[in-house]
Amino acid sequence: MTGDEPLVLGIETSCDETGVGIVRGTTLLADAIASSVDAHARFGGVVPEVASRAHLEAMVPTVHRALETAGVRLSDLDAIAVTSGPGLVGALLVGVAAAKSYALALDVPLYGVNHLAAHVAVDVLEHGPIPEPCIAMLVSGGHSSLLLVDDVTRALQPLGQTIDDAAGEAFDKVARLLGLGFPGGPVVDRLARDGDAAAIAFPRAKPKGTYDVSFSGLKTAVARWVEAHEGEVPVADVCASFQEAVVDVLTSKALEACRDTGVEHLLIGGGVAANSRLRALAQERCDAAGVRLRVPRPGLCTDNGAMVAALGSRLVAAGVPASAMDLPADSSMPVTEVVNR
Amino acid sequence: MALVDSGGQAVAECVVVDARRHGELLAQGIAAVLGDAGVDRRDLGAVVVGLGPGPFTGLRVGIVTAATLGDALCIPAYGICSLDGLGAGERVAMTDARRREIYWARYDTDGTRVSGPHVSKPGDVIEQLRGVPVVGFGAQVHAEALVGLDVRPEPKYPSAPALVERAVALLGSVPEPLVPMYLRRPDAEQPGPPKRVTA
Repeated sequence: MTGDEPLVLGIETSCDETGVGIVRGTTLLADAIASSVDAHARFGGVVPEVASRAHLEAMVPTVHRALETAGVRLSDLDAIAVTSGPGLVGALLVGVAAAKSYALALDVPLYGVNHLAAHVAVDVLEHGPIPEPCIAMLVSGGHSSLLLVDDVTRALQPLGQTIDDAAGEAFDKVARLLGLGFPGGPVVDRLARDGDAAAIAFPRAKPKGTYDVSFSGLKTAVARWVEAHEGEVPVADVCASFQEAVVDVLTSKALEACRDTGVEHLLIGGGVAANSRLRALAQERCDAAGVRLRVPRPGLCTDNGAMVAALGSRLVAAGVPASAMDLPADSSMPVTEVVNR
Repeated sequence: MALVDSGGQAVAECVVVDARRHGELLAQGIAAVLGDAGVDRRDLGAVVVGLGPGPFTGLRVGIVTAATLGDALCIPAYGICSLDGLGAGERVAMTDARRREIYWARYDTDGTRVSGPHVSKPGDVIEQLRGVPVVGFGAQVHAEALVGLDVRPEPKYPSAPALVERAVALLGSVPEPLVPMYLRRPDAEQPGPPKRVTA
């Protein structure tokens, strides 16, 4: 190890991306990804068994792509980090078993880390040290969480989450009812650019006194509107109006949390953070409220191994004890737990 | 898991029957076996792993562990059909495939696999299995559907030393890719059109 710059390999297999990242200190050296998204497209969503099979096939080749890109050898590594939860248990287990085996063979510490904490920690690679405290909004196909982050190596405090569908799931479902295929996020974002966000007044669930959000009613409202519409469906307007409702709710709740807690930094991560309208509206509202916004580049927002390596590197530097060799995969790992022991 | 020396003797072995905990137990077991035998991991010459058939999640834990261990230690990892490590000589090796089905393979007198691995309903194959000793816990799980067969009480499970024994002939060769013997396609159906939300 060069001073306090640990060389960490991170493995991410919680859903449909096999991600392997390599980080030295806070510097990203490699971020290799093998995605099974195409294999899921015809099923309209991620099929856990299909994802797990793909992880097994992709694991060793993806590790080697990362090593080659980084120009390092396995024997150079100081630690292995892996997403141990939350996520699809069969998918997580492939990464966890691989990480244990590398840690055992290389005789380096193993860190089983929380996927959501890794989504927060990744921004260190792009914008430097994570401002602490900060409010983190993590939005993806599986999560919509608002968190208070005092120290990303210790604990994240949950403030609110979706009570039904995740934000990305709502994008997928709306895309499906419009016949736009899977995944829905990128295509809705693209089509919405040619649509009128004010064309249709879709409902916005902003319950008072909670930071929880809900997208199930919105999704049904879009379906009802489309079914009731006579003639050709104005797809671009539907996309733009739906998307506006989602990002309005998300940014409202995030800014509300910043205001109530007096925290001046908002960090957005997760696959939905790649949405161009979410990024634009969040910037606009943060500027108006005097909150400083940080969003990693889209490639670091979606699931990847670099985020796991970035968190692992922080944990090593902070002297946090490593995980044991009987580390389990925990599909519902609470966000209050950053490292699984 | 087992550690076997160059003379084919198992020098340490660790067996836990718990199909739900491979993810937790395997790496720990490997470390324990190495420790018990006083062997440094860097002295290993090869890794052998059962490729199934078996429950998918546990199967993947075993295979990815073997693949990465081989990768990190720069040693070959050989895959063997798990049923080959269940019993010896002429027999039918049978494990539980759940869903009222069995995984099975048939071996001739010198222990060569001549049929399988298959996944079948017991009733569909019972006639062709008559007169051959049947080993493996699968035959006991499905005893009611296999009445009339020569079911032996032991051995019940594939053993790691037996898998290593089957792999001895492969040592020194370039290993084949470790492809799991799933025998079943993933359970997933293509969805129909979205349901209507208005009457």
